[in-house]
Amino acid sequence: MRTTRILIIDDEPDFTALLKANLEEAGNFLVRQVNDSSKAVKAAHEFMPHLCIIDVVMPGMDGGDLVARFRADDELKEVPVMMLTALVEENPDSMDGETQTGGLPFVSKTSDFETILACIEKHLEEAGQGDATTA
Amino acid sequence: MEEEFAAAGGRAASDRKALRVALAFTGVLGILILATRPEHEAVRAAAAACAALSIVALAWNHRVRAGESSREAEILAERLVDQNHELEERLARSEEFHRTLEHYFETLMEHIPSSIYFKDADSHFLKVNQSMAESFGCGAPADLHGKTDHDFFGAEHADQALADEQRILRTGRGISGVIEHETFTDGKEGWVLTTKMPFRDRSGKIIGTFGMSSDVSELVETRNALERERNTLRSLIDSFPDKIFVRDPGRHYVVVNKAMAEWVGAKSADEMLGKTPDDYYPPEISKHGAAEDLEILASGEPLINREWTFDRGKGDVHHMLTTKVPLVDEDGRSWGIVGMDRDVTEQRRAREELIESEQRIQELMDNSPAVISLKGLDGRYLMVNRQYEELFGLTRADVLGRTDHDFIADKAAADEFRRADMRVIDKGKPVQGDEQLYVDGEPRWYVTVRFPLRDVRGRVHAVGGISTDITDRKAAEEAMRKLNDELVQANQNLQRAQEQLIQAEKMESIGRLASGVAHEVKNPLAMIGMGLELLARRIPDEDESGKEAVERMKRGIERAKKIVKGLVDFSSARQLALEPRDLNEVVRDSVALVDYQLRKSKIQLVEQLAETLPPVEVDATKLEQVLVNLMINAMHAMGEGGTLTLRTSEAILTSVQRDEGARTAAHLRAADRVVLIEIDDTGPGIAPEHLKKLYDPFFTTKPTGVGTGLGLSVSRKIIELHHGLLELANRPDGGVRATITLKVGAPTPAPTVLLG
Repeated sequence: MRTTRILIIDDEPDFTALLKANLEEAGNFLVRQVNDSSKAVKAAHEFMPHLCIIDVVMPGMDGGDLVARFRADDELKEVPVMMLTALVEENPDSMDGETQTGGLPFVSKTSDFETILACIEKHLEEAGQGDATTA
Repeated sequence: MEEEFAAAGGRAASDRKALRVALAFTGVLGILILATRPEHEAVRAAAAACAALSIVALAWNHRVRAGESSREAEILAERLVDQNHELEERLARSEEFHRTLEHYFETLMEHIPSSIYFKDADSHFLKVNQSMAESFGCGAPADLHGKTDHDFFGAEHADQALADEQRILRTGRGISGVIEHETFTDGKEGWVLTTKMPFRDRSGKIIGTFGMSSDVSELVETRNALERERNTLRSLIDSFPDKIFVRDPGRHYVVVNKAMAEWVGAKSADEMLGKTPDDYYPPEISKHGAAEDLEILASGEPLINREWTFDRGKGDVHHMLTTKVPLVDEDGRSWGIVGMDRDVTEQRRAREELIESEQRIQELMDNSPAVISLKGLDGRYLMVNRQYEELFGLTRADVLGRTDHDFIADKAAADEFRRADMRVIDKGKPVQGDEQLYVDGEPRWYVTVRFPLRDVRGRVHAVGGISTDITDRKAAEEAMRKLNDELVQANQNLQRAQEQLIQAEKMESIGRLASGVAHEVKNPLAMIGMGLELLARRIPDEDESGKEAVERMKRGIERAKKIVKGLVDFSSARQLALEPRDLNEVVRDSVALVDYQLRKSKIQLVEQLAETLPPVEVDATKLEQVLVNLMINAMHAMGEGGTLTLRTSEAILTSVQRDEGARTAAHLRAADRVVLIEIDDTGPGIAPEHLKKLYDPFFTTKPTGVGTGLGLSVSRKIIELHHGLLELANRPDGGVRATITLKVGAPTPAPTVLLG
């Protein structure tokens, strides 16, 4: 049972710490948090995550820019990305509460943890890496 | 011859004696008649003749007797015999005459209406006539003989008569022609003309009294009446201020009154009698008067009211009116002139002043720009001014003495004028009002004051009217009023626009704030949520209160998230995905979303949807959000039970209501074709104080946790983005009606969205 590496890029260290704690408690996740978007690409190259969770509104480089950089990066362009932002509302219509915009899944930051976790697992599976990560 | 003579003498002597007796009787009778009938000329003359003849005859007889013995005596005797014969003849004639006299006397006594009496020295009646007997109430004169006045009159009257008679007896002087007041025996009072004389016997000795009295009551009364009448007339003409005179043809004053005397400066009226105008007037006036008098006397025609001026010098000029009338006797001859001079100086001055005063008033009226008139109580015009003449195109002569009805064709107008005048007359006070008159077909406005005019006794005798043309002023006022209305309207529009702007600004700010706040709040919310998730796993299953605490905290997060979502909706509802839709479908889809709640709340749903509706360009999702929001509001208002009515219809807008905060209401215009969606509830309605705040974000009347206070503001914003109108109002029969008005066809381009 391998460990799934998840990189969280968000300028809110308190949130990332709590999400990390929850994820690591909930399943076989290795979570790394980056609170400065300018350091995200470097961290991604070092960590090589199975999934990136990116905030949208961040000082300096925002989530959109960061995704563009990832897509432009040969090593990182295949890394699945899930946008976790306070900008969008929870979508009650979709099973996992996410919204597709511009090909990217957007998940409301205020969604409860189960929803977020469901979304993460869905995207890992879609990327062919979702092997029973949950505890 | 001797014997013959003696025989003749003896015969003659016996004859003489008889002659003497006859002569003496005739004499006495004559004297008696003289004494009792002194007033009758014929009787007196006859009596005097009888008496004188008797005395001469007696004297003659005596002388004859003395010269009997002489020749001459014989001749004388012969002559005497002749004379005696003559005397006898005369005696016979005298006796005849005496009888005649006696007849006269008796006739007199019997028929004369005056009372005649003879009394002795003790005032007993000796003889009275028939009239006296009758006036004393006795049948025959003889019944009075021996009686006295005391038998018939009161003591006072009788004593007075007795005293008078005693005086006459004593002094021998009678009372003649005295008029006395008398109380008659029948009690009547009156006046008598009395003569009382001493009654002497033949020797001249006073043996009593006699008298005569005539009832002259009627004469005296007539005289008194005439006297009174004369005095009255005198007083009358003296009291006249006019100068009255009567002149004879010689122009001598016969009668003048006091005023006349004063006028010419005479001391008294009497002073003027017998004098002529020459004595009092300047020659030229007197001369003119004389010529005039002659003409009047000659023609017999009166002269009436000749006006002339009498200049008495020093500016004392008098205006006189003279009237002279000829006085004509029974035969038609003029015997004088009665005249009257009247001093009319004062009247003339008063008349001149009146004319001047009227001219002044007329000038004042004519020079006023107002239309002025005066009417009597009967509505007839007394005065009008020039403006009146010009206004009605009538001359003064046309108007004066006539009423409005005589020349105003419009009878209703004339009636109204008359009524207005009568109101003033009745009230006795001025009345002011605006009146409209058509002058040359143009309506003109007048402000008219009608006022009563009073005479010296304070009684209303006329009504005046002053009308001022205020057409220009009215027009100016009207223009001013319109301008003012427009200004007020503009001001109101401005105010409304400002309010809308402020409201819009408020909304914008809130929107901007909300989106910022939403993001900033959601992050910590997310953080708390994560933390709570972590903590929840640490709570052992048996720690119920711990688990409950976590649940409560989760609910708190949900509430906060809901508010944030509302805010975000509000701030993000700026773009619409428009497509033509049948609104009935949108309504039905919305109902499906609340169907469960409706059933749960036992609310009856009534759908009154139009059979067909024209398609409207809408963002169906947003519109559904609005409809759901409104329906949930309605359900919350009704609680359990009640009826929710949904209605759709097509309409043409007749007017557009603007209200504060409705930025896009201006997109709807009257005559626009619209679709209406109405949602009626049967709840308690909206409290008046809440009506204005309905659309304010965060305003809510729901219990904490039930509403966010953002529903209506978001709903309205969505409808406004559709360029439509959302209105909430209380229905007359209770509950609230929410109305959405959307224009048929494509909405005009969306307004610039201020917030990125």
